[in-house]
Amino acid sequence: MSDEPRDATPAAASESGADVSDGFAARLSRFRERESSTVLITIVGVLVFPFIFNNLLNGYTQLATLMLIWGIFAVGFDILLGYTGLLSFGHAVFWGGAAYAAGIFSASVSSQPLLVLLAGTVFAVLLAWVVGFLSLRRGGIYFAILTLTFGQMAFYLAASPLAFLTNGENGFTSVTIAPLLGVIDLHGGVPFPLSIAVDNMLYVFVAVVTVLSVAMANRILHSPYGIVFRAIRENERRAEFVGLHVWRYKLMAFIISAAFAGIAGSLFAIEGNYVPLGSLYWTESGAIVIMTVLGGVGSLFGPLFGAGLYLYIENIVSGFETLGSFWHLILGIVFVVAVVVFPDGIWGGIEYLRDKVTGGDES
Amino acid sequence: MPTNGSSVSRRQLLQTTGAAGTVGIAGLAGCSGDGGDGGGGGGDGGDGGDSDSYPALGNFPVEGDTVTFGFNVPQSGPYSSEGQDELRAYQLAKKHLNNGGGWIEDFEDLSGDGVLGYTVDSVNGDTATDADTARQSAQRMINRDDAVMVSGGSSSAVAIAVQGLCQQENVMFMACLTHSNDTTGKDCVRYGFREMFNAYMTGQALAPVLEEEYGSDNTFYQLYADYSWGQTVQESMNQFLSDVGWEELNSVPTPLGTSDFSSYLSEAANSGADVLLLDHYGLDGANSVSQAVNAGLDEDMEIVVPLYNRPMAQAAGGSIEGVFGTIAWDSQIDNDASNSFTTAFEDEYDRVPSGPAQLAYAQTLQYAAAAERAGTFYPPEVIRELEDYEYDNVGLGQETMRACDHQAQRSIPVARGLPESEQSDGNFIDLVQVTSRDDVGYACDSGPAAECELGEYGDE
Repeated sequence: MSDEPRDATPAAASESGADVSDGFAARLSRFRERESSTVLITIVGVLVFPFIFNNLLNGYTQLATLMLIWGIFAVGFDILLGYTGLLSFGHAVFWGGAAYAAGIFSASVSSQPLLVLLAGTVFAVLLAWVVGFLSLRRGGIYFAILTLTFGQMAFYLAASPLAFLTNGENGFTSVTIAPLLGVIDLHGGVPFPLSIAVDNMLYVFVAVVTVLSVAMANRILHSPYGIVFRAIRENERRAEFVGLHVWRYKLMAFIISAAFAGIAGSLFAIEGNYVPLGSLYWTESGAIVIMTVLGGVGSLFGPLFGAGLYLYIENIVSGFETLGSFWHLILGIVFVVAVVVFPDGIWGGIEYLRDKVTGGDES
Repeated sequence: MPTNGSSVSRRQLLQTTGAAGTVGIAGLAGCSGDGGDGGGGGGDGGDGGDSDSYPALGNFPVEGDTVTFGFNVPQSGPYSSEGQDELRAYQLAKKHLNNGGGWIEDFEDLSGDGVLGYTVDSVNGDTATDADTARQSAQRMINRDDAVMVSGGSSSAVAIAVQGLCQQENVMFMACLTHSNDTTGKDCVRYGFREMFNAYMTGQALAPVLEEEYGSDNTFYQLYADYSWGQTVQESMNQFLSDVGWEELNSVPTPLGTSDFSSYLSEAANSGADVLLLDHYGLDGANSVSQAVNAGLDEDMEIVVPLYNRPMAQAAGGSIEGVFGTIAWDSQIDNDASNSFTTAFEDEYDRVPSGPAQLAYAQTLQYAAAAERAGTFYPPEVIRELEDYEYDNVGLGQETMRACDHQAQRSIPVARGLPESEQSDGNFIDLVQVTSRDDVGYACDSGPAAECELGEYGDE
């Protein structure tokens, strides 16, 4: 099935694969089943991406960086939406909250990028524990509305009562980022061997975090814990009857996805040296839902593609001569077409094509 | 626009240069600069020296025979009509810089055949009136399109976000419409320059006019948009109206994006104040004025909108009658520069230019003239040319672009809305006076400027 992780039962699959044949398709499927190959694919992906993007797709490295940052956010969001089946409409509170926490931390405590990243993520996790604890009392639409409410509360708090901390509508402008580990200037160039592929140190930093995040998400989803998430999505009551503490698992899924949002939000503050008030606005919560659905809910790589396509339309298409000012409309059309033609998102489409080429679904 | 392949390899090369700084690679960068000039052909002799005498910084040196400006305006969202008008003015400025016309004859530094021998090219972006979107859009102009100057904004949050980015990337930002004290106050930057006045100066210009019109011991009541810009307007109006002996009864914040002001307005009506100040802008401003008038508030109190503009007056329709406020610029201002801009704009687009359009046009030419005076696009030199520059050629009398906070010291037009029966052809306001710059402004160590720290030139 296209919306399942590929190696729910890795041992069994590889056994049967080895028995049957040594053909290309079989070898490919064995390669894909190993968890380390997911990491390998991600590393190769982030290495070649800026080159392809800059030269063939009219892009630029700073946007590639931003795509990865949103990609991390989307991968985390998919753990909640795609695997656990919970639609949160207030994830901007973790993204923006982490960005503000990271920014304020960098300005007043320490400007070490790794500590800033940690501070933002910890803030998002703690916030998610509180928001999740309150919102998960209710399911379905009520849960979505509750998270939306918390998100908007945070927005209005940051806009005015907390303006002495956040600098209100003008956004937080005093983010300061020191060189990584005291030596590597994040906004500088890269040394020779890497400079063939990338021209910006920040991209390298974000790419490393992206690979680690994807590896972490992959590990979580392939652990027994991740299998419980899927059980809850498929049938919450049955999971309860099996003896699982469903509410606790849901809270954990919520916190995990917020941790990813926290990592991404902190990177966003580091990347821009600035935190816009808009990072807490509900439209950001909407954007992450659209990215995830566009990319393909319930797949590991899909959300990365969704985030990329969304930002491509927002930042590249919007600069086109005549079509530019219609980019909102174009985004809407793309979304509708994607949902109608590929109900499983871009990744669903890619899997469909791959199965056509390799001659069928191996699982 | 440069082709992508060459743009990427050039960036990589420049960044390696910055990182390594070795003699060999620096020589290579010199070669690439010279190559660009050779390809240009039309470039004058100064270009070769241009890239040799200064190190690479931001998007300097300029490659090829065109120089790119980035025009970042709201094309969607509540200020999109202003953005459209700004964009028209930017395109007009580009046309005049390349082919002559408009103010080119009056700017002695400009020749009408490009800037420093380079043809002016431009890229556009949509800010969507959102700080984050604007910032991403400016980032694209700087990183992909190699813009040496970004201009735009129709909101202070946007201007502050973009000028922060420009400071970081060592690219010039010429602010268009931004009225908050913070833009050249606590959020000021070395790479940003503002021609527009601010809320503080609005207070200074408006208070004497209001005193003269409505008498000296009035009470007033303020509704203000509850974010940084609204707060600075509220503070400044309170400060300067108190100075003329008025008393503030109350000031009430209204949340961002409020569409129904009726409950706030009924409280204001019950306060018994003589004057009601509506510190809202854009669509919010048009809404609150219309609703106040429809509720009959104008019968017992006088209504003032501290900052408004033509599109807002148009949206408010007949409600704007008799309402005082300050505006960026208006085509009714009668002097050579104003008239020649109005004529050029009307010839091109067959419509009357708005205040933001004049700002956009003036800021683009101002940058080009500064680059010509500096003889290079090297940003620190262009900045030094603009700092403490005295000029009188943008239609608002004698002005100074002050070095301490990059705020233009200029006169301020005060306007009053026309009754609906007299509104026609884009004319919705009556110019009351142009308050001289001697009556407004503040020293470098007082007002918003006291909080300003500009940051580095980039060549220290």
